[in-house]
Amino acid sequence: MNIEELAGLPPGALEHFRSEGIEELYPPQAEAVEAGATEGENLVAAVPTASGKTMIAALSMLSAIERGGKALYIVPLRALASEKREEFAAYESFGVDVGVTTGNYESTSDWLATKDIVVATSEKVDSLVRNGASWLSELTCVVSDEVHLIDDRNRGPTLEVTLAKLRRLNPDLQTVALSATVGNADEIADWLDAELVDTDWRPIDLQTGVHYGNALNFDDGSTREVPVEGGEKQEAALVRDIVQEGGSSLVFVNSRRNAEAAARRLGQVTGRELTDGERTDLAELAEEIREDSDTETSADLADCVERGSAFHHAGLSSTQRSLVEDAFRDRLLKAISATPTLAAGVNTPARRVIVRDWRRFDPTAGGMAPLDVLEVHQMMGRAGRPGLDPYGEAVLLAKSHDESEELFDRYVWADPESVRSKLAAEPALRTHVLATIASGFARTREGLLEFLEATLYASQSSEPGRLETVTDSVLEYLERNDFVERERDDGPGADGAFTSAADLAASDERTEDLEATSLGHTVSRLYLDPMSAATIVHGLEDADDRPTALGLYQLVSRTPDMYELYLRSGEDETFGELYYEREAELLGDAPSEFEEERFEDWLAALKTGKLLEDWAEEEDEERITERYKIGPGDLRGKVDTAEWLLGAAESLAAEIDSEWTVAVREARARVEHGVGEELLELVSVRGVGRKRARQLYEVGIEEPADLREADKSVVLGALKGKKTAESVLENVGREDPSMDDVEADSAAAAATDSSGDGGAVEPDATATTDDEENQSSLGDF
Amino acid sequence: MFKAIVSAETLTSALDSVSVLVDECKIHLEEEGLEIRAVDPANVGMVDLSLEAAAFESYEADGGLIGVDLSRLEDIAGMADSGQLIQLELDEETRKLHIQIDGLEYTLALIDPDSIRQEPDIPELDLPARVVLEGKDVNRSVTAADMVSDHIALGVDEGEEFFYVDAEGDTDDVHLELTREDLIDLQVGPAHSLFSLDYLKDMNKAIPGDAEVTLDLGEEFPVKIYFGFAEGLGQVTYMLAPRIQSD
Repeated sequence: MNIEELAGLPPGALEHFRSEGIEELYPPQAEAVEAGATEGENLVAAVPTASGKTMIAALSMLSAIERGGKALYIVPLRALASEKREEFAAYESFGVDVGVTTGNYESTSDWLATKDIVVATSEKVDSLVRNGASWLSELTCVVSDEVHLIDDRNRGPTLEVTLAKLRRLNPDLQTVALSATVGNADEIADWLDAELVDTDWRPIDLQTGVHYGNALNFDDGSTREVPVEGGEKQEAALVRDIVQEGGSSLVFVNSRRNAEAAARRLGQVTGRELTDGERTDLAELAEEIREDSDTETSADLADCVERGSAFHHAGLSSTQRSLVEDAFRDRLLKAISATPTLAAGVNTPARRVIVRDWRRFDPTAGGMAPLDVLEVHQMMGRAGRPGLDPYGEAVLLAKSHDESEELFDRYVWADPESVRSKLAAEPALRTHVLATIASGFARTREGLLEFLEATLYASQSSEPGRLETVTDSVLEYLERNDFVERERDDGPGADGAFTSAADLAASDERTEDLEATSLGHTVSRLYLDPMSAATIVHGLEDADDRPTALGLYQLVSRTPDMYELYLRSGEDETFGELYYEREAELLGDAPSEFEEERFEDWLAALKTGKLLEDWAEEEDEERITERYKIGPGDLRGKVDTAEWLLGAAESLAAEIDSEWTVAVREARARVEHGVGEELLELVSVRGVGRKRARQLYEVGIEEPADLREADKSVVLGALKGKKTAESVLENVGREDPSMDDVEADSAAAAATDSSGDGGAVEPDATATTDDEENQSSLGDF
Repeated sequence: MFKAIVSAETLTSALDSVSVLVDECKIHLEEEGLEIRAVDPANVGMVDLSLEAAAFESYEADGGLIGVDLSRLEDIAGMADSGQLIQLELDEETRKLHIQIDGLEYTLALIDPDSIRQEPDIPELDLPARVVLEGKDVNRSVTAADMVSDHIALGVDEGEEFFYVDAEGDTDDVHLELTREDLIDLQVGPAHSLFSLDYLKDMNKAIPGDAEVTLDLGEEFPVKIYFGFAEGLGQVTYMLAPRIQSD
């Protein structure tokens, strides 16, 4: 279909597409138009990655706007939101305004009301609904990108409920769902009353296969020789092979660390294939990356980039990420090793995609678990770039003949999994039922059930009545914890003590009014799992004395929103002992030792709580990660979650008039900065972290005001570097922060040199000691 | 997962340089190679060792951590002739290390890493002087000093620009000066510190005579000793705390 045949688009849109070099629609796009995409029809498009899904969305949205409407584009990742904004920003040339909203869950973002196209993450849309953003009812077209993520245990239910709510708000809403090729696109189409475009058409041929030994075997039976030289890794050989041919490659691995290590090694391969011009350009790019931030990651990345390779994972800053992506698209970078985040939609095609790791650590499985077929197919779909590559190749790596066969069966020949709703999982349902009531979407039990009937879960559920049973038990839970009030319309039997069987049967049809309590509203607004909120509320109510930090840390670690550390073998004893030592500090009813499972959970929460306490008692980050066998990122994650939960706990404490609001706030601030109580004031100064605050405290500077008055030589002695000291003094607003001609106070320097146990060796102290004690310890330096 | 083949010589050099300080240690089996950090119980001497994957005949690992009894592992490695290859493989299930030397199979029980002393943080020190010399000169200095004393002073004369070694015994003294001509490199800075020979003797044992050894020194500050082994694919850093001089 030629784009000239398209009707109903805003004036100027066709010129824009033509200037982008688009003359002809791809077959799936043409099919979508024939199915009514530009006429406001609901549509599910299940097509492979890079086959023009965005164009289908664009045509639907633009035609909706031309009819006087407003469109919403829901993305699964924040990174995608900015990519889409850039793409749609070009429409401003013909008068279509685009706005993006991702962060801050509590605002209603009224400024978006004036935009024609709004791009947002599903969590953001959910919170907009909860907070009652009025412009949502003006929407006429909603596009849900990567809708197959409904299958995701954590984020899927939010997307599902959000779509259901939007469709209920605006019964005439056009819903366009874009999906990867999945096993049951027809079910999604049924759910959304939509036309289905289901195809595996791709603009470039994709060959998939497995590399084993020296051969690359493809699904069509053909083979290509890619010899592996002695001592070389398979992926290195595959990268070298395709770079020599003029293509680029993308290597998927299962962790950030592996991505970094692989990029370093691939640099040895790509480095040999560069031209002098490329080397100069890469050196410039590396410099830009170094300037962006001075972390170790950025230095490592720059080192790789100089040799034509790069890594890509969620730990990079957004600037670095886009520098890498752009340079890869420009073919300046020859290889990227990436974690699967890159597979989820970001547009970086390569001629050869190598899926190196097909297993990943899965905490729910307690070990390495194979990736889903869908996920691997998504990665493979990144192969081949229209216009630049004659073909695309996607390769898995096998170490043995058996593994090669397994990979063919498991991924190459296999069909992707079906998308199943995860809404019936209790935490998801608890959260969304409360939100649905709190935001006024349902005011009666019947209204609630009617709403839930409109979800994918209901349309997939084969068991009649199951949804109702689960919903009732959730409602009961919410009522018991004072989050909702249920008022039954008194049936005939309710006034007497005598209840007949007939009355019981009739009571099934009762109407029941539902209303969220003020506490329930708070919980919904805070975005908490109601069970977490209940645990926190009970814990706070139970506290007779001011709760300790450990008590509060263990309390939030018990909530389902905190993914707690599990106990390793032997640790039940360690933490059992700790439990008896500090039993009195813990909040809420402790399980007895005989309830084995609950007791173990209790101890696991104690372990997590203890980790947070260690952090707040200024233990070294490295020592903590070592002691608890976790990565630095995990520690950060736990700390962030605890910070968020304690912030929520503070709101809840205020809501229930608890007298411990201040204790909660303090515990939160301590975990946020990782410091003891006495340092809380000092860390509020910009540039002063936990270590510097401690150094200052050691020399008698106990609060920000002291910094303004203290002798500069003491400050310098405590903080060491002159630059650091100057910028700290500047941040605290000292009149003359300059450190020129200031000598570090030696007593202050010595006080902070000690390893904290008072082990500083003072010269006069050792004068009279015997030989043995003359030996200093490394901790003194 | 850990599986590696390595020459007996490389493995024993690596183990020896750690075992002079500790009996047990944790070994990080990183993708890029082995890493060991350890500190002796008195917190006086520290070692930081890395051995790149390229130093092995073959090497595969994915970031595990094991704890080993060094003397037992050394004994086993000692069974091989220096040119022979040793194959190491970790059994994740049983937490045992399978070691093969030309038909000889040995299964070594590992130690729970949690029960081993914490790994040290290597202090960041700004040491003003740097001396680069041959391993055999280190050996000569240490052996000579050991004849007269328990301690050895290492220092740099800033004016005359030489590196010196002093040992004072009850009756006899040893003094050695190495000028720029005798050294590979010298960066002059204020440096004079006294060290226990017990430790230095042990560290010296692990330093190959033909290695290029770097000493970073300060005034009453720890010394950092760096050297490479296995053709530069292995790196050892020692750090030794000084004895505080009382006068």
